[in-house]
Amino acid sequence: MKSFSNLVKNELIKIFAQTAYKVFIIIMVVLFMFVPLLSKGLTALVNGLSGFFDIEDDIAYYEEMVDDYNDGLERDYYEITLKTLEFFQSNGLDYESWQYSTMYGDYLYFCLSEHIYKCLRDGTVTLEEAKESLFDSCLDDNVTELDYGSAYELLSTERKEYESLIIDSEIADYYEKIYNDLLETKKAYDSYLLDLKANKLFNEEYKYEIFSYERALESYDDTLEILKFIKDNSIDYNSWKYHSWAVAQSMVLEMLSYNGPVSLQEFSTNSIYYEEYDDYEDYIEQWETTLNDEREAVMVLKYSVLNNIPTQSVQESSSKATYNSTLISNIELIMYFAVVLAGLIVANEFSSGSARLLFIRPHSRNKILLSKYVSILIVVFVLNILNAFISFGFTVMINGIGDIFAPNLVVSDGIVKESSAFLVSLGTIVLTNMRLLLAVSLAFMMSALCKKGALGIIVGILFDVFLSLIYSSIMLVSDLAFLKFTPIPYYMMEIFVSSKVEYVISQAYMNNVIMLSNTSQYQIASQLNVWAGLANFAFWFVICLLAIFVPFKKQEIKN
Amino acid sequence: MDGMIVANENSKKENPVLSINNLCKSFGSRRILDNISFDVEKGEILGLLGPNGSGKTTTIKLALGLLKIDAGNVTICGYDVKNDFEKAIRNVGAIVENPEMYKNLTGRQNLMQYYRMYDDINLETLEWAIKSVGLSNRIDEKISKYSLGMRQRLGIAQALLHSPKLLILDEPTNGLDPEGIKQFRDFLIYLAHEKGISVLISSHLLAELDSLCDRVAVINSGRIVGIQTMEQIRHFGEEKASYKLIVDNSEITSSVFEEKGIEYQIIAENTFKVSVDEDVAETIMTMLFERGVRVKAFAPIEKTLEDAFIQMVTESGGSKI
Repeated sequence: MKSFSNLVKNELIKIFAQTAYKVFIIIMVVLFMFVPLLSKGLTALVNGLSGFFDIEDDIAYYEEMVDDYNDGLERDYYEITLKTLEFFQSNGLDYESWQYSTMYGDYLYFCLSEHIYKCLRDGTVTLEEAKESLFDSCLDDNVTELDYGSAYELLSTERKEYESLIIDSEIADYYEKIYNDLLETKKAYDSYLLDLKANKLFNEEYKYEIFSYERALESYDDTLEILKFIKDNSIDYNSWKYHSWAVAQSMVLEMLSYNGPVSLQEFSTNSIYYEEYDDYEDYIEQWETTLNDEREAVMVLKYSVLNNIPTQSVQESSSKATYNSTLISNIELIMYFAVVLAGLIVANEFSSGSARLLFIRPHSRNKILLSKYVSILIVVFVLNILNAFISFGFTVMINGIGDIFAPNLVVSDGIVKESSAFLVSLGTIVLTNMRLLLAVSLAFMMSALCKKGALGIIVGILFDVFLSLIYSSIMLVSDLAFLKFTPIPYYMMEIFVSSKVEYVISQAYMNNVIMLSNTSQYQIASQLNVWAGLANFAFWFVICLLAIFVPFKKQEIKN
Repeated sequence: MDGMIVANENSKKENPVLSINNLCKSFGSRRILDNISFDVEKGEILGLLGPNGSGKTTTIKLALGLLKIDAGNVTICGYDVKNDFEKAIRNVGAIVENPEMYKNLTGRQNLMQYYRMYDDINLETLEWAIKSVGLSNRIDEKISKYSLGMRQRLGIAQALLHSPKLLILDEPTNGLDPEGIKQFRDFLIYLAHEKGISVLISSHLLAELDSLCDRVAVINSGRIVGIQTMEQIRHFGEEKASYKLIVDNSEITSSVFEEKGIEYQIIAENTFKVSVDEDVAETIMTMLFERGVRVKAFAPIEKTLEDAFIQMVTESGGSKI
């Protein structure tokens, strides 16, 4: 054992004596730091771009549009939009204000509707002209020619009320209003559910609808509880807690819209269904799974807000997400270094001629070869440790501690539980290193067998690039079908640490926010088995090692 | 041993340090070594001499386990290189071709690389090896700054640092200056004759082996064509002693040789080379005196290693150097 550790020590000394490797490691450490900086830079750029479209720019744009039209409904439309923006601006409410975010759309709608019904009432515009104009979306099919006046009066009153709400109300008032509105709506749904249950006694067809409403209304209670917490604690608008509520609320609305699955007859005749699902039972099962997943997501959001543990997907910039994605990016860098190392560590002995002195020592060739392999693993291990600390340091520097130590939330047996963030990061590191090990083994194999360093490096890097390209292309496929029986989907093992709840939340959140999430990764992981992935890697790893050590023992050292 | 000329079977002793028996090696269809056999005894310096491409380095690489043995065997201190590699190779220090080491490391760091590969040696031996090759002052410099001669010395140091019983040196004096070669030669003789280390040394420098080796194995076209002591080599192929004769009358002298039926060569004006027994030589001298020929010089001619080598190679049907 001592002699083997001496062999490993020899290899490490040789590695760290090489100036090129030292330079490479320094560059890599700089890149370790650069990745979070780059990430932060991109975020700043995106924010900068969104900031570019501020209220002044929009006002200037609509002023130009108004100038382009001398008269007609188009001019009216742009003029009203311009006045609406000016109204918010004159009251000091820019795009960042909660009033603008929550009430601009509705207020503009009232203004536009009020105007078009006034025109219709006055007879300055015909219904046909209104329908062909930009005002079309403001027209209600139920309003007839006789109602134009009353519709105008009603809209005018509502517009004025909304106007005073925008100017005078505090966020607490807003929370209070939406809370009370939602409470009222909830009562209506409760009553509807009771009716459904009563009908169930007579009609089996309602069972899916009842199931859907039960899930939705349980979640509705949770969202109300979140909202109450936000309301009572005057939580800032646009904070992660507010977003948690907004996401939960959007999920509840989606669940309520489900009502029930399509009938067997519709399933059998509509290709949208029968091509995607194995059979009707499979469809029902997945429908129920989706509902339950959303129910669990709302439970997690509630737990998250009440216990002050943010989920990653509702934050503009999650330190934990940044840390884990930085870890993965940097492991790619480590892989390139390790592949170069593996490609050269044996081949260099032959190209320089030092192999002739190395292999005439009282150690078997495979023992010497193994010491080289182990030394690469040690370097990779050390670089991973370095990566973990540097990534942590720079994530904290850029994003702050944030949620970096916050536990991950999972639902188990119907209860929300906290799982260690450290274990998730460790799992990310270990699983990401799986493909690194395989790429390194391939490069090492080519280096040992062909004695060509460049060949080893090219094979190692091509392996990674080629598989990542294939993997990226299968991300476009929602159903892995037969691919799940091949090693390809297991290429990125880190997908197995992706969270189902985060996936469901991010799906709901994506309606409003552009984000780079692990959405597709979870979709792939959910179809795969982590043990199958580990077995797959173990298989190829063993094949690789056999291909290295068995022939090398018999090789001749001619150079 | 097909094609081998064994001058003195009695010179073999018990338990040779290196024993090569019927060694064969081919690369593809090309036969490189054909039934090579020889031993190196304790404290003996055996030269392996042969023209380029004759199989010297291949023999050494097979002995060191760097190449796979097709047939035959190599034992070092009784251990078979093929089956008991680690025990066999523990007893060997070697230089194969140029001793290439790690240029980013210092001389000492390079030696430490090899030092750490042995369990039962101490740093004193390493220091002794450094001192012995005269590198004490430069040992902590990176070897990228070393001259070829210094690298060669370092190569010798790495071969010695674990106190081997056998040194296998393939063209070890490449890059050494004349003084270095002399020091090296004296050092090898000291190691062999005083320390009892056996040495197998290959070289294309005939003069180097001439004054160094106890025995020389001549290899040509993958075959050993002769293993001789230096004394035997010098007289190889001589059934009678050769003499150089300088006279003042070549015509009368030629007639005397022809009369006595003696073969002769005129190697210069009035200068002859003859191979005769000692009593015949005396008769010739008497006859020349009686016929008035003045003999200016009459001396035996000693054969050089080169002469013997060329004769051996020529007789074996191979090419010359």
